[in-house]
Amino acid sequence: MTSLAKEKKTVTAAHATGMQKLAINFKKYWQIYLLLIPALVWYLLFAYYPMAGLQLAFKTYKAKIGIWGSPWCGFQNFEAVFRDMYFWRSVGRTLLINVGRLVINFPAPILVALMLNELRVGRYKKVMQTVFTFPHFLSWVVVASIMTNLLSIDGLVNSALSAAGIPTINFLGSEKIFQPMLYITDIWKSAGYSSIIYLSAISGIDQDQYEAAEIDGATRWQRIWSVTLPNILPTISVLFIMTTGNLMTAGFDQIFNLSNAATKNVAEVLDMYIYRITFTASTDFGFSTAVSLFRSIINMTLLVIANKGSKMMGGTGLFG
Amino acid sequence: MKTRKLFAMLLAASLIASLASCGNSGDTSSTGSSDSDSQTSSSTSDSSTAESSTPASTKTDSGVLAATTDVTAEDILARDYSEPITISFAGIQVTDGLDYNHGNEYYEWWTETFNVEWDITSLTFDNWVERMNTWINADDLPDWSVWNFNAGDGANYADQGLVMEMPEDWKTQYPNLAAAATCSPANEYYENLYGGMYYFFRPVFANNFPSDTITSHISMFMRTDWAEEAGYDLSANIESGSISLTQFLEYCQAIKDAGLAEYPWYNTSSYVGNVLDRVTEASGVIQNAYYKGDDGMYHWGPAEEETGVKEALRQIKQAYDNGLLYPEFYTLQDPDDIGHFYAAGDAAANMYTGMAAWFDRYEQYMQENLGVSFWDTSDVFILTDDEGVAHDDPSTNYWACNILSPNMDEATYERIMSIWDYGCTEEGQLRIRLGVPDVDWKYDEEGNIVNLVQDTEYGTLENKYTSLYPITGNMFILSDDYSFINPGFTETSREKVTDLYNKRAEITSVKDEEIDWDLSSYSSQAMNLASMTYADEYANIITKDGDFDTNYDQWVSDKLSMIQPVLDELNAAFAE
Repeated sequence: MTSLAKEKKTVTAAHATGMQKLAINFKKYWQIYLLLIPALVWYLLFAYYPMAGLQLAFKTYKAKIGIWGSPWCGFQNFEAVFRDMYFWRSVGRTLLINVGRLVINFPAPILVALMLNELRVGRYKKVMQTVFTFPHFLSWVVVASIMTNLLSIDGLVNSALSAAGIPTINFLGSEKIFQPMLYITDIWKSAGYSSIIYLSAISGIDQDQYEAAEIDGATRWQRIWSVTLPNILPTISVLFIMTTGNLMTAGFDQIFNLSNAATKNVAEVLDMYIYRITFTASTDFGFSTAVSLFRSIINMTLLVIANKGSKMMGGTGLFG
Repeated sequence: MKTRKLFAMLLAASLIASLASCGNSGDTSSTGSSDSDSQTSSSTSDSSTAESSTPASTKTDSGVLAATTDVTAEDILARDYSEPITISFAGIQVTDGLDYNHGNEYYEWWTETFNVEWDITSLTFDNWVERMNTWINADDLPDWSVWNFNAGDGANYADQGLVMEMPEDWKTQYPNLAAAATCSPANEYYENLYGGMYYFFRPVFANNFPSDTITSHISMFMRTDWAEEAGYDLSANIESGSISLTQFLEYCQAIKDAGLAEYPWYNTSSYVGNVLDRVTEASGVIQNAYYKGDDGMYHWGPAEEETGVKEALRQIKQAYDNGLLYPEFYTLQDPDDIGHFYAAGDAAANMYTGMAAWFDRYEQYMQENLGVSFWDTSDVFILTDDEGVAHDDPSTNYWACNILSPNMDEATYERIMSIWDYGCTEEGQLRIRLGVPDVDWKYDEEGNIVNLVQDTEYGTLENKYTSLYPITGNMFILSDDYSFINPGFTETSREKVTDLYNKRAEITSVKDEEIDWDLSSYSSQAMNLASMTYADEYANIITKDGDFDTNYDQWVSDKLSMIQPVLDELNAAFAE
């Protein structure tokens, strides 16, 4: 190849469009791209192909002829959904609970990560990390059972209150306590595990920045505030956007297991509503899918808004 | 830029979807499908397939059901069962880990005689509806399942052929089963309505029922010794076998005041709701809360003063606030609540299944755990309203139904039907209820049945064969019926349960009322959306802080926004 030809190719590559760049990259690194195939197949099979089932939202489901053969019913399912006041209540409740989670629970793993990072003794740090992470592996059924044993009228906490001469508290049946209980149990169960991602971001911070700050006489608190937090901000942004994209999903497992008849009015989030409509009355998969599709659209909208907002504030975005 | 492209694509996709749905909805209507398709017509189909020659059931000398057919138990057993068959079965009350095929003489007789192996899936009350609906809609039913029938799904599944429709000759081929099926009017009604037999409604009572009126057996178990200790006179109630809600709550108050129990009444929210059902008209906990009033129009029970729901709930709320009812009753699981009565011994009362088997169990558990006799310390009462009326709904006399997979082969179908058919013969019933002949029971010289298990270390058949239920025990005719004559239960229990049924028949609200089939079989999307678990709703009102009237009226007003469309539909279709 002549030097002119080489130069021409370089120029072409430099001015190539996105697709051309991808083709050039693919040709150059095809072995690496090959490794993507299993993940792509997984996504196609389990994330994209099932989306075809969303058409049920516009159909009257007939099991015998399947999703594709079932007759279309236009927006009939949506009309029924939007007429139901309990649907709107569940939407409101889901948003209320999740905005609370965003304010109260979202910072918790960041705080745990910062605290763990400040621990000096390596072994103690590992022990603490294990202690914080362990609850993640318990199912909500187990957690609910623990909470019942702790908080029931004959439970540990009320027994202690009684022994101290303090009136007992109806923790499990109080609508006022239900929402805080969701946050507390969620933090207890998930904060440790979720902090792992922040810890890994912290471990990637250039140590020179800490040394420079120390030389400048920065206190520990100042180092956290001026070095650690700014460095993990991109990670916080991405996770914040993703959490915002799930604002309409309130954790069915947790609420299903922790709620009861006394707290049902404050516990019927959208997932519980879908469950009730699907499995306590005659089966109507079209109706349930319509509710789920509505939820996904709201989640998608919130995700895009959060992404835009993050970028407008100079932060990192997920896409675009 | 990319975001804009993504939105453009999404917008285009949604437009295409909208167009496609609009276009096809027109096609749908042209093929005859309409809004009314989502409703189940409650009018009986003209094309009745119920054969007039359905064999009838009669009571034999031994008091056991036997069909007036020529097909005897011997005939059924003489059929060719040489081909081994595995039958998949799904039902509740199955215990995971128990061997229902081998390991005891009781089950082995069934598996060996009919040459079958059971492949069992255990369901719980929590996942029963969910799993069955999933299987049916996936066209993946086990060969034989027990399904908690509801009219909306029932019509839909029959229409689509998601459950097996019986062949035309099933009644002549399996006449004992057909005879037993006549015990529940639901069998004939839905067979006519759906134009074929899809669901086998399992009769609660067959021929041993001691009174003409079918009533509920749910009763109130109460400590009579504590009443005496607290100075509360129950003698009139013991005499009549019944107690009103007001008297019951006074009794609880007396027990509490005497310091005999911190919380005298323990029950799950289901049973607390059941109390409402027993003392009011149309509370909705067990049956529909909709009812046809004297004006010929449909009404919703909780909203109508005449039903007494609000006042009864007010009494229970008051009892809850006064600490008579366990504060966290809504967290109790069945049978943890009754365990407080017979095991922990800290409950004075609870409502539960009033069957002979349970009287015996209370006796056994109280002896074992508390060292006292149930019969010496306690009694069972029919709960009534303050006028002395025990409220019941006109009975369809069934609990859940058997369904078969439409995909099973003929040999499996024939084997299952033969087993059911045999189970409905006199010999089959005796084997199911009393166990293995000459091992667990025998006839004495005078032809009376002698129970051989009673005096052994086991005491009862259930203790001897831990896997007794549910396949054979609740095969088709349920065990309630046999409570009255089953010598496997103590004579005291049998006499008590018979006495309670006879007394209840005198004070029940149903008498000669007819079943409202229009209502029972009605289903629509509006009714779906208005569905609720009434026991949970009532538990919520009971536990709610603030003024009861405000809370109750607010609840009724909220619910009416969903209920009114249902009432409008019902009145448009069936009002007189």
